[in-house]
Amino acid sequence: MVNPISRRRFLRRSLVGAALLAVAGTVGRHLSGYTIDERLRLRVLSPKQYLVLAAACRRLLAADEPGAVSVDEVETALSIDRYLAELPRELQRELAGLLELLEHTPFLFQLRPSRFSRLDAAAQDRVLEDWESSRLPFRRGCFQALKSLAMVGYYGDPRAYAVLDYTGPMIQR
Amino acid sequence: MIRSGRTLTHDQQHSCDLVIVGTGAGGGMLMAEAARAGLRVMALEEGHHLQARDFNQREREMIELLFQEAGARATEDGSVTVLGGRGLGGSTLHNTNLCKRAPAVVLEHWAEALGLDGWRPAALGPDFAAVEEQLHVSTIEPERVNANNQVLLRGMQALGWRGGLLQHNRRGCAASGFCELGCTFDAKENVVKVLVPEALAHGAEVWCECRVERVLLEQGRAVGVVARALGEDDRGPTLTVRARAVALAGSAIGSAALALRSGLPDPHDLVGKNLHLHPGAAVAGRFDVPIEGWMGIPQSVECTEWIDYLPGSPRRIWIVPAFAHPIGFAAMLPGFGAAHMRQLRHYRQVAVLVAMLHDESAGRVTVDRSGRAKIRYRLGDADARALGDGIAACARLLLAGGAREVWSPYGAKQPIRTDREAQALARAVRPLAPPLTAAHPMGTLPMAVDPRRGVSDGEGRWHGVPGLYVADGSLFPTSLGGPPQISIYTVGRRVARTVAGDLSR
Repeated sequence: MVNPISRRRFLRRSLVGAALLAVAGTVGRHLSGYTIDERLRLRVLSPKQYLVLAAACRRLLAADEPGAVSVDEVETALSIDRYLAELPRELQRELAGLLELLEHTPFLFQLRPSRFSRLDAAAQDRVLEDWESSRLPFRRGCFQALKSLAMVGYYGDPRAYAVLDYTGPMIQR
Repeated sequence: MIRSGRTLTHDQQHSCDLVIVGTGAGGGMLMAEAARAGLRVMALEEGHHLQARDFNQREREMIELLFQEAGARATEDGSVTVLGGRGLGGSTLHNTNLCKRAPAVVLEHWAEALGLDGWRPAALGPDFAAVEEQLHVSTIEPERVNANNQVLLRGMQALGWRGGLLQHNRRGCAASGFCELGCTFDAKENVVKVLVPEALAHGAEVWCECRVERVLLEQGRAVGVVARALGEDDRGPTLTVRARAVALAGSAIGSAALALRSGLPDPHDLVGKNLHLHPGAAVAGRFDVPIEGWMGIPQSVECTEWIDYLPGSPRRIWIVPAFAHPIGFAAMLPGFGAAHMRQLRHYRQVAVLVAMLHDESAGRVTVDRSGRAKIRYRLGDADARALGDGIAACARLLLAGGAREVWSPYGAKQPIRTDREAQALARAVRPLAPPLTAAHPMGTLPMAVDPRRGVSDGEGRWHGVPGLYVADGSLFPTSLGGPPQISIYTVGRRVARTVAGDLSR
C-alpha cells in the first residue's frame, strides 16, 4: 500500500528532486565533456549530438580554402538542427542515432578507446572515408546522409556562395 | 474554394461525390475533369497552397517547403534519395516541366502481359493529345538551350548518338534556372496554374494542410476518408469527408502508405510492392570555359542512345542534364573535405549529366508504427550493370562535348580524362554503388486485368472494393523509363471518366 503524503511534503520533495536532477545533469554534462553554450537553444539535437555533428561538418566541408567562410562562422551545425526540426520525428530520431553511431565508431568498429569528436582531424577523416567506401550499403547510406546534412547547413547560407562564384537568386525578397 | 486545415477549430464532417487524396498531376487532373463532368469534388492536400510569390529562389527554404520530408526522404539503407512533391500541385510545383508520352514499347508490353488493351498507344493517343493541348506542351526552341544542355548536344553529335530536344509545358518562361525550386514567374503550365482554376470554376473544393489518415470502408465499399488538420502538432481537429467515391492520388509512396495504414483489402499481397524508382546517378565534367549550368532551362535535351525500353534489355538508360543549385550540387559531387571544396571552386565551369535507369528491380513501401512510409529498394545485378553502362555513357558524352576531365560519382579513379577511362567506369560500379537520386516513384498499386496480378483494373478501379480508385503513378505496372508527368496527368483524365461513368449508373 502506498503511504499518502501531504501536498506540502510532495511539493518539497519534488522541488528538491528537481534541483538534484538539474545539478546532476549539469555535472554529468561537464564530466562527459559535451557542453555547449546554452544560448544555442537546440531544437532537435542533444549537446552531444550537436558537438559530434559540428566536428563531422568541419571535416566534411574543410572550409579552410582561401575565401571560404568557415564552418563555424556559418553556424553549420546549428543550421542543421533548425533543418532537422522540419523533419518527421522518426527521421529526426534516425539521424540523431546516426550521430551517436559516428561518435562511438572508433570504439565499436576499430576497438579504439576514443570517440569521433575527440580524434584528431586525420583520424576523423579516416573514419569518414571508411563510411564513404564501406562495402555495407547501410554505412555508405549513413555517410551520404551526413554529407547531405552538412551541405544543407553550409551551402544553404548565402555567405558560402562566394567560393562557388554562384550568382544566387535573381530576385530580392 | 481553397481552404486550409489550419483554420479548423473543431472536428468537421463534409460530404461530396468524389474525394481525392493528393493534388499532383493525377489528382489535379482528376479534380478538374470530374468537376467539369458535374461531380461535387473535394481534394485534400497535405502541403501548402503556394503561389508564384512564395517561390523566393532560396534553395534551402524551398527544399523545406516543396519536398516531402524536407527533401530528406530516402530508402531505408540511405542509398537512394527519393524526392517527392508537397503542396497544392504536388511535384508539378518543382519538376522541370519535361513532357514525354509513355513509350509505345512499354504500353504495348502492358497490353500483352497484363491485358491492358485500353493502354495501347493508339487507344491513349487522344488522351495524351488532349492533355498536351491543355498544358500548352511545345518543343523547346533551339536558341533557349543553355550551355549545360549544349554540352549534351555536342557530345551526342561527336559520338553519333541518338537524342534531341525535349517538350515542355511552360509559357512566359524567364529561363531563370530555378524550376526545381518553384517558378517565381508563374510560367509552369501545371496543376495550380491550369487545373485548379478550372476545378474551382466548376465548384470543386480544396483543403490544404490536411493529412489523410485513413480511408473509410463500410460493408466492403469505400465511403470516405478521415484527415487531420496539420498545425503546430499532430493532434489537430479531424476532417471527415464522406463520398460516393474515393481516389488515391498521393504518389506511389503516399498512396501505398495510405492503403497500408487503412488496411485496404489486398487478398493477393500486392500493395506497396513492385516499387520502381527510376533512379539516376549524376556525372560531372569540368570545362575550360564557363558553363553556369544553374542559369537557363535546366533540361531541354535528351540522349536516347542507351535505352530501347524492351523488357529485359540491357539498354535501359535515359540521359539528360542535371545541374543543381549549390546544396544539390555539393551533395552530389563525390568525396568530401578539402578535395571536395577544390572541385566546387570549379562550379561555374562544370556541366552535369544524369544516367536515369529504367529499373526492373522492384522495391517495397511499408509503414512504420507511426504510419510513416518506409522505402526498401535495392538494385539487382542486371540493373547495376545497366547503370554502370549509363555512367560510362555520361562520362563519354561529357568528354566528347569538350570536358577537360570528368568526375565519377563513386570512388573509382579520379579524374577521368580519356574515352578509354570513361568506358572502364561501366565495370567499376560494384561494389561501390554510387549514391542515387530518384524523383519518379511508380508501380506500388499496379493495374492489371487479373486481380491476382494487379491492385487496380485498367481504369483505376480497386479490384473488389466498389467506390475506390487509384489516380497516380502507383498504377503503372513497370517503370516508364522517362519523365512520368504527362502519363500521370493522362491517368487523372481517364480515371475522371471512369468515376463519372460509374457514379452515373
